[in-house]
Amino acid sequence: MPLLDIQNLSVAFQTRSGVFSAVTDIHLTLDKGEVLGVVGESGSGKSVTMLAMMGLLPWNAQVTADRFSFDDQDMLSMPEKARRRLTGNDIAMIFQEPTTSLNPSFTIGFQIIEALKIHEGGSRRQRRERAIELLDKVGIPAPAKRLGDYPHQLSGGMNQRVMIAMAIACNPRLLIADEPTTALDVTIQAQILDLLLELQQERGMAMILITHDMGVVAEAAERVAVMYAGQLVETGTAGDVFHHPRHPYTGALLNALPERHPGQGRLPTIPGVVPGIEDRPQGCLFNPRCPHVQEDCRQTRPALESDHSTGSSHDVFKKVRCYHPLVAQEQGEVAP
Amino acid sequence: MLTFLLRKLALLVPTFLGVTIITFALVHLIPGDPVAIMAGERGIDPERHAQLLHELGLDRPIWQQYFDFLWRLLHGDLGRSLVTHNSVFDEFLALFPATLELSICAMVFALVLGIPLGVLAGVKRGSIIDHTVMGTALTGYSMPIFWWGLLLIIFFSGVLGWTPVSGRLSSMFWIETPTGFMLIDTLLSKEPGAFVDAIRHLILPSIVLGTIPLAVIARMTRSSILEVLGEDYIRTARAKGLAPFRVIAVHALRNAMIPVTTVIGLQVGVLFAGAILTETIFSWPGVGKWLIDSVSRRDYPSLQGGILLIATLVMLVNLTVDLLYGLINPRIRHNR
Amino acid sequence: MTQLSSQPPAAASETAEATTLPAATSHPLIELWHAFRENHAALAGLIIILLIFVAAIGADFIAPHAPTEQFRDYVLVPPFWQEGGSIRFLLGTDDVGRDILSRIIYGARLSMLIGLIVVSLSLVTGVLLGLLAGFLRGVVETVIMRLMDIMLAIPSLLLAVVVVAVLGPGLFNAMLAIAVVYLPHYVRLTRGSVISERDRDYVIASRLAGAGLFRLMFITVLPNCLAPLIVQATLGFSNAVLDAAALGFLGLGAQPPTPEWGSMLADARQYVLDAWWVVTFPGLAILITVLAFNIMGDGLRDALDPKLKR
Repeated sequence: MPLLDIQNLSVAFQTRSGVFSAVTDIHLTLDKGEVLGVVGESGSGKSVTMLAMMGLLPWNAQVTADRFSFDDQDMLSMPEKARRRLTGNDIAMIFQEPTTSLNPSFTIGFQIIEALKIHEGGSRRQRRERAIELLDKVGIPAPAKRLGDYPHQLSGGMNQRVMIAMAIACNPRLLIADEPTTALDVTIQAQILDLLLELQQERGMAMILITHDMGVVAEAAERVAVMYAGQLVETGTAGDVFHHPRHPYTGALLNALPERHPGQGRLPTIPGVVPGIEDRPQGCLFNPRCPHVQEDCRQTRPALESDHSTGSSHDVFKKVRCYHPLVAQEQGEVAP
Repeated sequence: MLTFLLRKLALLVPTFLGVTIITFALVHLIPGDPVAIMAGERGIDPERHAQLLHELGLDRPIWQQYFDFLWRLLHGDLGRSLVTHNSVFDEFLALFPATLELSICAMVFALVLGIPLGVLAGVKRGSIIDHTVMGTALTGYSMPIFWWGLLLIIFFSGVLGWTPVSGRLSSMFWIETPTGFMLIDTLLSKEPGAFVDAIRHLILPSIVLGTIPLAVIARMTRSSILEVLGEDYIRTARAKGLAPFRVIAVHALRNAMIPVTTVIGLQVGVLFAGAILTETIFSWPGVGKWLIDSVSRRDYPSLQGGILLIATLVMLVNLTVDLLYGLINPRIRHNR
Repeated sequence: MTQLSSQPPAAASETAEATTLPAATSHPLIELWHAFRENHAALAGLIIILLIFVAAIGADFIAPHAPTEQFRDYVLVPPFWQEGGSIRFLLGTDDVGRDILSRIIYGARLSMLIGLIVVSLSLVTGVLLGLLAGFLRGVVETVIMRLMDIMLAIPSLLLAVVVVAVLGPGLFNAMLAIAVVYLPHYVRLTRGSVISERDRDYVIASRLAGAGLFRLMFITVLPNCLAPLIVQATLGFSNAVLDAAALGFLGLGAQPPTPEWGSMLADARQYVLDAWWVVTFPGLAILITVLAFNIMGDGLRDALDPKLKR
């Protein structure tokens, strides 16, 4: 029984000029204590998927799924109130911009204790002690003094630590981290990532790590899902995806990693941009940018299908959405 | 914080001096000199005229007269009314509680209705509630309040007979007025029914005077809430699993109120302007009516003193609002 | 809703990331009109304003009676649908037998005139002072802006009362007083826009090309500050109508028997409990006029929003 089980999830937005589907056909499963990396460029629908999971989408969003369950409870049919008992408690989330994600008008102490208050109860003093403990846990020096500080008095990295403290306050079983390091200084990024992984291991939390940085995924995730224009294009274990990418988009993403081109002047890039919600092409969504595009790619949209071409025989997660997947080759070089 | 206060005070000084110059000039720009006005239609013989001018210091150079005026001002001497021969300052002080009481009630009315309505309209953006509230607010904002007052009198006093037409208290009550605030004085007097009677007198004037601030506050609250609801920290609050009411009432409202306080401060000037009309309609014995009466009685020292005092009050209130702004916005509190 | 104009809908700015291409180069005024037309309330406001202007101009032909003609046998006649009313006086008569409808129609002429004169006066003076403050800086700027601060410290109607007290009551002095009161708004707005435009490349380019101060102020910079000024002028019109009526009501504006809406209300005050129509209709005329201008001002602001929010 997976902790999180999502089958065929779609999110559409109702606007004045019609209904636009933001993400379609998402399949994800996640076991207890597992780390899943979700990769994709901006606009690929990573965040929308995660917000759907948290029930944080705006009112004009319509979420549908064949199955969408957390801990065997159906998230879609669940009443609003029961769902709120889960969010922030069993499922927690941290965001990209720590400085704007904390309320500027309240002390960080208030904001952490608030999470404890609604989900855990306990006495005022217990909550306060727990908040100090949490701040200490995420590596904030002199935590008792920091409780009375406002977010603007702390640095971005410190604020992200506060966000993490807030997220783990109620011992969630699933932590969703939406680009947790993108907005931070490079030196801080590694620290925050290490902190997250350390907490994940120590508490046995499942974690979904959203990022557009393949390097981060390689370091942290056990399994990887690659998204493009609102769809999954490839899923598999981190090792498989990194060493034997099957989808041309995954290949191109990996190819753009600096580590793979030591000493070379320019990195390869992927021409063009992710199509917006309103101008998705016919056929495979990646076809206008794909170096290996063929005629059938322009006609119909491929489905996400299991892929057994690579070595790891036990891998049931290995799936790819492509008519002409890349053939497994030496790392770093990709060809059809 | 202290330097902030001092800097603001320093900025007030030139503005205050400017107001003194304007009010001083007022009396000297009026055709005919005060002695002639005092003498009225009876006339006065030239010798006595010159003597009086000398006694009043009006035959000296204009700049000397100004510094005289300023000097007396600093000692709380605003001159004497040409009609009652009482000290202008004392007259103002005697009438001011009536205006203040009315203004406070009007502001309470505006705040108690305006903020919730604005929040409701903002949260239910685009709904019928939103359109109704905003339509009503625009109508209120466009209301000629002197007519609005007359309409209310026609309906509530004329047709329904619920409220009295004018004054602060029915003539059947005779009570001591140690504070000048009728609500407090009637309570102190222990006269049965007097307090209720005072309230009944306050209702219509408060509604009339509060209408425009109500409309402005509702509109401002709505747009401010709309802006705040799009912020990242609102998403964080929802991600904690907080109930929608708490998200709005605690996390959104506190931040949304920051710009609204400024607007509330600006309404104080509007209240004084409105008090002139409201007090005229309801024969309310406050400074607004007194000023208009001073104009028609050509009692220029009263007009001069009254305007000077009101302008000073408005400046002080705006200063207080600035300070308050710093108190509710921690970012300013710490950076100054 | 269904009629999306030919250019990419500026209103559907939900997809703001998508770089909005400059539409087929239509005149900015036409674009403004397209954005404005979407707003049905604002359009209604505009139509009401046009109707009021028609009434104001054609008062001589539309009004059934002369505004000051007294029908001594028809004092305080109620509106025609009430008992005792007459079709001859559709909205009834006042305490000296004047036709209320006719007085309101002629009052529209007066109110529109007041609005036009006040707005022109304060707009022209305010823009001039604002441009001077924004361009000359230094002492000139300090003096002008301090003066405006002082004027803003005195509540608007109170300041108008003071000016009227100095100049003496009357319609023209009331207009002057209101124009003075709203001056600071235009000055501040213009100066603010000038300061934000002053150091932009196109202004510097123009300066380098040898444009004189006059040319810089009026030809280069001013057209780019117009959007907020247009909105302010529309809202200023409603303020002018409202404040002129208030002064009239206080007996400091138009003097009887001028058919001015505010002074009509002042005359009618004593009949509040006996003859509701004498009070109701002039006030309704003020409310509708002011509301129409405010709705249109809001609509204009929304239509010009991209420029205002910059």
